[in-house]
Amino acid sequence: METPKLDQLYIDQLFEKSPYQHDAQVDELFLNALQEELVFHYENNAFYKQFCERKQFNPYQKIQDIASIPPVSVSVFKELGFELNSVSKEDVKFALQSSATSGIPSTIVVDKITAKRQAKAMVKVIQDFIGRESKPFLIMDVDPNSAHKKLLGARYAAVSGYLKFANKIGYFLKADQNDRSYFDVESINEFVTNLDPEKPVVVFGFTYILFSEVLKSVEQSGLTFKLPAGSKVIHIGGWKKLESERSTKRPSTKKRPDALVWKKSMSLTSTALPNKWASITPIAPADASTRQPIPNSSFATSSPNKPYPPAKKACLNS
Amino acid sequence: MLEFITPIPHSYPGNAVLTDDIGVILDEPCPYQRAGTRFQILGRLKKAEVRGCGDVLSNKLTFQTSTTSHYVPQKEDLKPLLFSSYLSATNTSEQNLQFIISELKSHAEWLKKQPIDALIGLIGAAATKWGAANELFLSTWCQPKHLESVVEFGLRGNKQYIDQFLPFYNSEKHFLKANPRGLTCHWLAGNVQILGMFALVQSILTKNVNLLKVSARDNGVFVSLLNVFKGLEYTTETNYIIKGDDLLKTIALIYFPREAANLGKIMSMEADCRIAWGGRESVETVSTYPAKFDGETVIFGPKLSFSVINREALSSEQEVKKLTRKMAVDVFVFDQTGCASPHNLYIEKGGNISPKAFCEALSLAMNNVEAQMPITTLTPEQVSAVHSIRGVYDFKGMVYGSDSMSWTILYDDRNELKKPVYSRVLFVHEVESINDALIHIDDSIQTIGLACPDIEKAKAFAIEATNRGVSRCPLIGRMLNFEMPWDGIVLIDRLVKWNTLGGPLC
Repeated sequence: METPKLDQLYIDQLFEKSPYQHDAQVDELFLNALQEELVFHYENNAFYKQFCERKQFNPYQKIQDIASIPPVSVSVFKELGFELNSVSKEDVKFALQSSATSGIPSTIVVDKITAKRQAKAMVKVIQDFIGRESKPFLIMDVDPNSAHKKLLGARYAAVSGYLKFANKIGYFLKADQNDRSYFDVESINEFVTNLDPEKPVVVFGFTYILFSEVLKSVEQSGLTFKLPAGSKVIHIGGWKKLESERSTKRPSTKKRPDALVWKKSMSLTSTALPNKWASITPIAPADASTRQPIPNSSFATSSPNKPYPPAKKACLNS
Repeated sequence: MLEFITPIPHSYPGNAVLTDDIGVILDEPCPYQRAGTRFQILGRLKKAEVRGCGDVLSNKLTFQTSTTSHYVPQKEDLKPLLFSSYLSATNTSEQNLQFIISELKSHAEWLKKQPIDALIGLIGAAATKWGAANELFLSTWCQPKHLESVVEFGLRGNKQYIDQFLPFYNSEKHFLKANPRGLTCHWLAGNVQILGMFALVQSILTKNVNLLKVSARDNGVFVSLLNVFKGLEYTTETNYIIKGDDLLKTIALIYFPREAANLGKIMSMEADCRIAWGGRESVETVSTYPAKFDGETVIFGPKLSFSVINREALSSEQEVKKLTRKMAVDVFVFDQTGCASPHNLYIEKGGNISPKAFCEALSLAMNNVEAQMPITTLTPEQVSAVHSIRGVYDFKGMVYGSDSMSWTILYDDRNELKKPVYSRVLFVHEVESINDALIHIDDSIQTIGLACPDIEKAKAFAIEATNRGVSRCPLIGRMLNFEMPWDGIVLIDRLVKWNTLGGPLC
């Protein structure tokens, strides 16, 4: 394989394609881009080279089947994350860690090149779902500029990553004097009332916050909001913190508001996969007031007589 | 399990990552016309639920007092597994437990009258039958000769002190006698049930009546061991006959769920001596129950163990062959869930056989020993835990292991104490000196299996190790062999009251 110059890398050609485009040419580009990287790690990462030799894997051989690539276990990033750099320490810009709901966090070290690719991939995938135009974002989390930003913790990085898609932002998780967070039903009501009903918005938040704070408060308040047609909900992060709640008082199907239909199965929680595009889970948006799927939405679910159609999963290229 | 493949990562080798998430590939196409494979994430793979004494490390990090439970006691909570009398079906569990205790106490007088030689002989007779049931070490331990030495060691050098008043060793007018405390209540641990037998035997020999609460994972092991006493008789040299059936009247075996705190409290309040085995959660439960203010409490709690090998033990291939076999046995007994089971091995370099060569020899030994001691359970979660740690050592060290994941040796040259993975996973660390391993010792480390032929070096190591908290430094191959003292405790001492007559000072 001829190593192309940096500006001609296969991955850059791959990025020119639409994220869900799937044909022989894209497959070929994907495999070439992948091999480019595998060879790079083999040559620049002693750990990885040893690993490949143990697994009798030769990255120079053309990849016939992706299943033949020996996978690296996530535990490796939990234990050796900081040592697994394939670029020089000087080139490492920052380290990312998973939220570590299961104990030890996974760590990856990120250089400028990887960070750029991550951002690019994220933009391409998100735009495929919400369109190229920026939109108002209703963020179901704490304002990072508020006095209570410490409640945000590691969620800050995730939230801020999405702000580039927003032209107007509202934060609706507030905190009282005791730093206890609550969902501000009144201010979201005001925000929604002032929206252009013709322009779709994005509701964004962590799955467990949407479930434990937002849905409960909305239900209790008895208020309903009408989001503009074609609005979307993006929720990210794991379901793990809700596991206990789920087992004790799983919301009954009848009571579950259609406005935010999601399933655990839809929350992509792959902590080891740093690429943000892997953790986006757009879900079927619905009109909160009518509790019917929004007709114009590209996610609109079909049969209205079935209140909970098998939730439509996001289609993510693996 | 989901594996993600992407060309994006450039600064770290994350292009093909196997996660611990479980998912399914969906057949139907995307309703929004997006191409590509569709999949649904079902959740994360459950953590392996091997619970062993070695959990002490993680437990220390996540110590939390348990939340208040809203458990409602059920009438059928109490299950008598071995009890010589009958329980009323109309009684509550509490009433039945009280009845069991009063029955046991009513046989205390009989037990007090039994000569120590008769008790030793009877247990010795039972031990020959346990031998057939593959509990070889227990049988050896319970041979009359060994029991005698245990009792003599515990009873100030003379087993007869438990039968009668005898003079102090340096007096003719000052007498000493050991009396039983009364009722010993045992809380047994699921992972190492058999260790509870050692405590029971000592409690019988000190003439205490015994109530044992087995763990939910008993599977009838304990009952079958005790059933051996049924119909058993032993005649002493002085023609005294003791019957196993009578002894069984002084022992009751019960089960109730841990949540049935009311029953736990009754058992605790009635106990003159409480003995609890197991993980932090179990022993903490027992220690928080109310108890007699002058009652004895013996906790054999969660502990962790490792092994060290000095370079002089690696002198020849023949020596190493023997040593690896013993090492394999230590790892295999109780499927590595015992508090004395080794999870880490620190091995000195500079011997005739290198640490790496030792690992190779050890993998042969593990293969051989496995034929005699196959692993009892290997759940998908355990396999995943083993797979995942092997993945790490494919990067940072060397992996030796069976294809079936039934045993694993993970070699590196870092002087670290790794958390137990269980399922017969041994971390082998190459070190400059066995003394390098001392830094890992605190009072959560129970046993260090030691291979160090030079007794002076071994003593020097053991002085340092015990100063830092280790209880015992047995030979490799005998780490799990129960001995007295255990966890720093001479159990018999806790099971008796010492009484005097005459004297003092004459």
